Amino acid sequence: MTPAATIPVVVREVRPVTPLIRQFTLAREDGLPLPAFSAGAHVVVVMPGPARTLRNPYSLMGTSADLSTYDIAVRLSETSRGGSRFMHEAVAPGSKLAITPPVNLFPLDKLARRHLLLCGGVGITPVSAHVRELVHGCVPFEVHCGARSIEHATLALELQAIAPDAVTIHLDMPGPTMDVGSILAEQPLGTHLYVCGPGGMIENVIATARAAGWPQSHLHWERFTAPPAGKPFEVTLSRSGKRITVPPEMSLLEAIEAAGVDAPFLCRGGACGQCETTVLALDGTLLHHDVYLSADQKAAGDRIMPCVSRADCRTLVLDR
Amino acid sequence: MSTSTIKSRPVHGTLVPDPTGRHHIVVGEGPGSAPVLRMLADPGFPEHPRHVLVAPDPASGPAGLAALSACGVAEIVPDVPSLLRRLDALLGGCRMGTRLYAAGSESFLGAVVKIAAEHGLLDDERRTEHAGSAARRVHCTHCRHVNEHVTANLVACGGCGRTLLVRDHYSRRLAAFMGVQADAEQPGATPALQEVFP
Repeated sequence: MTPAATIPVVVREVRPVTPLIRQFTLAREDGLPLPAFSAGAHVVVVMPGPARTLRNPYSLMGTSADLSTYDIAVRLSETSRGGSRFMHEAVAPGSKLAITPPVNLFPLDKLARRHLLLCGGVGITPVSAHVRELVHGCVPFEVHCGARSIEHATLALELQAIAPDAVTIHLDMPGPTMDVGSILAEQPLGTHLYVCGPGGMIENVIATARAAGWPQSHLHWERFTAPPAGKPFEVTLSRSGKRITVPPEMSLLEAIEAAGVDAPFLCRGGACGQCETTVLALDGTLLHHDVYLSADQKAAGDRIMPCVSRADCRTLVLDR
Repeated sequence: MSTSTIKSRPVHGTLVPDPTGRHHIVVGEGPGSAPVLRMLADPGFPEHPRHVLVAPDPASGPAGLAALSACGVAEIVPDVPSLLRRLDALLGGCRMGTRLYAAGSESFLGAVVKIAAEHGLLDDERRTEHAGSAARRVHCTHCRHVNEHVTANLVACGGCGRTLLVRDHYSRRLAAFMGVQADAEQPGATPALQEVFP
C-alpha cells in the first residue's frame, strides 16, 4: 500500500454522536461508488495537518449495501497526536480528505456457530458493521456494549434498535459493569469472541476467556495502538540513501514518509505486519511497541515495525 | 502413488492432556483404547469433568477393550455408529472450553473430526492419535459414491465401476479422501496396484 493508492473523498456530513465522538460521512470526490468491504474493515484517513500529514486508521461502520458513502466515527483523544483533534476541529462538511482502500484485519469468522461481540467506548465502530452484517444472516449473535453513561451510548442505542434481542448496553457506575466472566461462562461450543475497546478491556476479556478454556482460534480482537512518543533518534535509510531524524512526536513511519520515501503500511497500529522493515545495523536498543512480532523476533533485533516502534540508539540503518 | 505434498491429508499426533481445557471428551475405537488408557493414566489429565466413550472395532471386537473395561472410567458403546451418535448429542450440549480427544482408525478419526467441525470445534480444540487400520474412505469424484475400507492405491468404485486412484486430497466435510479415475490423463495408463493403507 502506498500513498499513491489513496482515494480522494469529500466530507458529506459531520454528526456529533456523543460528547467525545463525531461521525463522518465520506463520499468519493468524483461521485463514483467506493470499494466494497466486509464488516470489520478499516480505512486509513490521510489528513493534511498544519505541520505534517497525519494518517489514522478508522473502522467502517456501515455495510457494502450502500457504497455511495462510508461512515467512520472518531473519538477525540485526550492525548491526541493531532489526528483526532484535526478531525474534530478542522473537518466540516465539504472538507477534502483522502483514504486508503479498505482492509479487514477484524473479520467475522465464517466457521462460527455463534458470534459474541464485546466492545467499549469508540471500540463499537467495527461492531456496528458486524451487527449490520449479522442481522441479515442466520448465525446467532450476542453483543455487549460498554459506555460511560447514556449520553455516551448513542451508537450502542442505534445498534440496540437494529437488533433489540441481541444487544445489551452496560453503563459505567462509575466503573465498568460488564460481567465478562458470566458472559463467557455459558457460551455454546463453536462460539467466536470479538473484542474491541480500550487496551485494558481487551486484555481483561482475552485473559478471562483463556482462563475459561477458550482456545486461541476462537478469540479475535482489534486494537489500534497510537504510535507512542519518545526521544528523538537518527536513522539511515540505506536503499534510498537518506539520513533522517525522527522527532519525539512523530512515528518512524511518518518520518520515513516525510522524507519522501515510499514505505508500505496497512493498519498503522502495530497489528498487521505490512510495514515490517529489516534492520541492517544497530548500535543501541529497538523499542518495540507492536503486537505483530513474537518475543523472539523482537529480541533478535533484526526487524522493526516502524508504524509504532522506535529506537534508543546511536546508529540505526534500515533496509528502506 | 499419490503425492504426499497435499496439505489436506490429516496429520495425527499423540494424545496428551490439554491443561487449558475445562471439560474433556475422549473417544476411542478398538486399538485406540491403548492411547485412551495411556492418557487417562496421565497425572496431568483432570478427573472431572470428562466423558470417555469407547467402541470396539469390527476386527478385534469387544475382547480388545478388556483392559479399558477393567479400569472402569470408560463407557463401552456397542459399536462405532452408536458412539458417533452419542458424541454428536454430547457436543450439542457442551460449552466453550471443551476439548476433544480421539484415537482409532483413519476412518474413525475422520468421522469424529467431521462431527466436531459441525459443532464448530477447530484444530486447537481437538487432538487425534492414529491406532489401527489406515484404510481410507474414498469419495468418487465422478459419481460421489463413498467406498469404505480402501487399503490400496487403486479401487474399483462401487458406484460407477471406474478404477479410482486414491489421492491424499482429503475432505473434512465428507470425511473422505478423493478418488479420481486412474487413467484419466492417459487412457490405459494405470499405475501398479499397491497395498498402501493397511
